[in-house]
Amino acid sequence: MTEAPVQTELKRQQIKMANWFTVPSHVLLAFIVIFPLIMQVYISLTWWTPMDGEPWYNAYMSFSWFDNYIEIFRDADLWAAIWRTLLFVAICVPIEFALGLLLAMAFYEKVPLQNVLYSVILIPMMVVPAIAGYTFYLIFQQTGPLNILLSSVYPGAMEINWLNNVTRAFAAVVIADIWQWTPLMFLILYAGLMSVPDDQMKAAALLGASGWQRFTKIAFPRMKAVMTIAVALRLIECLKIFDPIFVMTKGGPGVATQSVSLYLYKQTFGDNNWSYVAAIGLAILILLSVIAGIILSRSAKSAAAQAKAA
Amino acid sequence: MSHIVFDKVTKRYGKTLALDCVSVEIAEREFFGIFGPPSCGKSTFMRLLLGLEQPDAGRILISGKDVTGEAPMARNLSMVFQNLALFPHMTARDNIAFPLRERKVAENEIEQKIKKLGETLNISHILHKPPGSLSGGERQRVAIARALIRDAKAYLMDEPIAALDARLREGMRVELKRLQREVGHTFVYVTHDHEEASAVSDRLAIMRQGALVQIDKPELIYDNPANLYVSEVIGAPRINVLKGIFNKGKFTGSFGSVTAPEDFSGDGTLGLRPDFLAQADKAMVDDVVFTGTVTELEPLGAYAIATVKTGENFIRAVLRGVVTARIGGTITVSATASDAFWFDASGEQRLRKAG
Amino acid sequence: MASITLKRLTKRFANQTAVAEMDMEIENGKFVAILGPSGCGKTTTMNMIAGLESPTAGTISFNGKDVTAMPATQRGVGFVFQNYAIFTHMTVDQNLGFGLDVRNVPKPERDKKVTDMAAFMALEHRLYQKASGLSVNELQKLAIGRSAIVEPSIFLLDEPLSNLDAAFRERMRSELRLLQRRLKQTMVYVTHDQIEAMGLADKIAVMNLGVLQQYASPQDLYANPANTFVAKFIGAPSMNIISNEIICASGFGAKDLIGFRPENVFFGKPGVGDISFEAQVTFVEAVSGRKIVHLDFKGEEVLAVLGRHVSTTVGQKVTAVVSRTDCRSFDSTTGKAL
Repeated sequence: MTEAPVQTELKRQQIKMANWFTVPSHVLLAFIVIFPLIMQVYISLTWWTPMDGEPWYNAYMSFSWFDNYIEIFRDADLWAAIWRTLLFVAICVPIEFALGLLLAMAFYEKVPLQNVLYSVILIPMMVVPAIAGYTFYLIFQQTGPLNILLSSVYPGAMEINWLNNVTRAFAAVVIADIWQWTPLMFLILYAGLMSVPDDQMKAAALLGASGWQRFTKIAFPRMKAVMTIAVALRLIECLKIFDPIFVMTKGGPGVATQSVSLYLYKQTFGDNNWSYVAAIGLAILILLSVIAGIILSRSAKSAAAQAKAA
Repeated sequence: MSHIVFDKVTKRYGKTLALDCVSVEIAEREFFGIFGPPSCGKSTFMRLLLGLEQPDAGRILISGKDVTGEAPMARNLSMVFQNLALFPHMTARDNIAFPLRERKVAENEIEQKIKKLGETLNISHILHKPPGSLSGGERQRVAIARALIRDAKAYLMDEPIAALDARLREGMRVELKRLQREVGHTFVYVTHDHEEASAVSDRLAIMRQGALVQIDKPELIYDNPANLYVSEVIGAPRINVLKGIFNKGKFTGSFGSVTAPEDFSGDGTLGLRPDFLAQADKAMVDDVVFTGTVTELEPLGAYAIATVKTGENFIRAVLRGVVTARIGGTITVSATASDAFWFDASGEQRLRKAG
Repeated sequence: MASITLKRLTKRFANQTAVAEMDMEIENGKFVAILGPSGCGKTTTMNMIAGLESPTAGTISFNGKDVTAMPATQRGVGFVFQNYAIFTHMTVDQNLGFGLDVRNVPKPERDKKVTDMAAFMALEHRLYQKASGLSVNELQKLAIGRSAIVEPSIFLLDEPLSNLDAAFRERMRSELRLLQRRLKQTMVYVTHDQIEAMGLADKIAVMNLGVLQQYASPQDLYANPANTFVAKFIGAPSMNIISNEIICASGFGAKDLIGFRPENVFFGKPGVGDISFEAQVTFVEAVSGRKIVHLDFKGEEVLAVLGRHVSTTVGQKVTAVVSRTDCRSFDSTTGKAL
């Protein structure tokens, strides 16, 4: 059967119209993504810093080819910071996920004073990260509230110096991050849990499934997509950790808590290696894009499978 | 008011044939029903008529004018959707007035029309409320009022009362029919409920897999179905279907043997409405008679439905009056010869007595 | 198998009473329907029996044992949801076996039961498919099979047929009855469709506005409704109810409400003692081979159901006749049957 001419005409008009509608988003995309990216690539191939007194577009005068990129592989401090950051992520994200999930389950089963508690739990997330860091900086002072509290059970507690010890400083930063970001995990996972059809949970209960079985057999399999998104969000954010460390330890003692972001900051404003930072930034961007790509394609697949199931 | 014509209209979605060369004429002031199971093409019919989709072949005419390819706005049709699509943030009155305000009709004229419609549909007292605080039936009426308020060439309804519960539906279908008589517009009404379809329609089209199988007055379709499919989908309880072989005035199958017209031969199908079967102590010579054991008895108040096992088959009969039958007992049921529908083996073709 | 006893069962939500002081005894192995319009409290009653909601007052007992405080998980009640609540992320096999899996039934026994149930429900060819791919009709069977497999002593069904098309609904009605006969369980069935309730149940509990109106066999409800609500709700089309002030029939109180069923009205000459009145035909509906004739009698609408061969035309004047034995009378203020 051939299509009637009226329809093809109508279709063509519609497609033409649709293309025009996408123009603004293309312009926006060019401005916020493509232009800065090109600029960064350009700078990373030079020795340019703003201290030279040359505008950025004249950076070609100190062209360095790939020296900045080669430097990345020689920079032991950078690699130490990368491994440290990864360790930090590997500790924080799973703990935040587990705590968030437990909280979400507790809320699903209804806890007393649910509404009040809900608001209270979300507060840390609203706090400006630098302020959160400052709060923990105060808490972990040698004469701070934590030690005062601890000294009631352990007499030597007032002697403990948290932020000047390599391990304890790291732990303090971990605790600060968990405090601040568990609520986000909770929020996302709770929303995911609430979107599991109520009837299915009830049906499982009536078939004799215990609370735990209802979660593991019905809720969690249906929450795969949400769980992936929650973890991905936190992974990306956590890899960029900066504010609390900057406020609490400045990366110290020594470089014991120095994250990649903090290292970049020091390179930029301390050592004026702008073009080197541009190179590192690009390298990280590429690395993260690959990781995010893998995660997102997997979660898209499972989301599609779930959509099909529904 | 209008005359709607579908002239050999075909519509495909990819490989599926949604409408298969459908031709139909809907008269002015007619209440035209379209009945069929889900996804038989009823909604496609509506979408094509509205102009939301264009046919792959064929023409659509409204008032004698070819509207194929015209945009929905140009066709001037009014529609009530199944999900009503009322605006929740507006009162019933504003909902109803909406189509006219969009067309910049003077407020006092709108007011007059709403007053009249409010009386006809019995919703004058709830016009100030938002849809959220109305009952299902009231929301329904508001949606209908909104569709009726403007002068359209025809009013289209896609399962408009399917969401109501059984009681309300029975009341609403009478009201709809009365309303249509009163306003004298052309209504095109789509439903998958055969009782509703029969009750409201002046003429009814039975649709199956994109094709129109029979178009007639509902009572004539019931009494005179074109094929087995039609006889099965129209009428409750469902028609009894028996497969067998014709042989010299007899129809023989796993149910036994009954009287059949002399001139039929070969394999065939017998359709017998449970409603046409009556408990018979003595039957006429020509009657179609079954004797068997009662396996089930559903008392439904005015009547009871008995399931009778004859041979390998179960047939259902509607028993009226005082029911003497008991489960496990023997019963004889019969239908007059003219009430038996004979079909060929596939059920596609009705067999009729010569002369 | 178990009997269910409800004693003064009450459920109040924030500002309204969903179920009020309901007393009901469901005998062991019976098929009972709870029937009423939407919002009458039938689903709330069912949820309380299942343990999905806890009553505000009153008790629920199974076999005389008080289960009011027992959680749903332990009540061992089979429940079929209106939308079936099938676990769409699982296969048919996993759905059917769910109740067995959570009880850690040994694999061979579990597999045998699942296979048997799949065969009984005609789902064996779908066993290893995702449940999301099933048709509505198959989902319904799966929902029943999933509950039946753990052999609950009580089976609750919440409008299980309302999502099905008319033809399949009729068939499922017989299948449900067969299932009940085979499993011999106590079945409680919630519906707003009186035909479904009449066709299926041994006894029907009619509810309105949270109050139990009448609890009796289908024939009893139809023949002797306890009040005007039941009279109107049972039977389609509804019973005609007219004040005797209009119809002026002798032998009834002057202010009583007289009720008679449309199918008991005929046109013609009244016999001795029959009630008759002159009316005008306003409207005729032809449904399933019967004619529903709408009559106007002194401004009141009266319905009559006639056979398909009776011819009537709109505007025609007729003498409508009802036999006195087919009339019921109700108190004009309370609506109670007299």
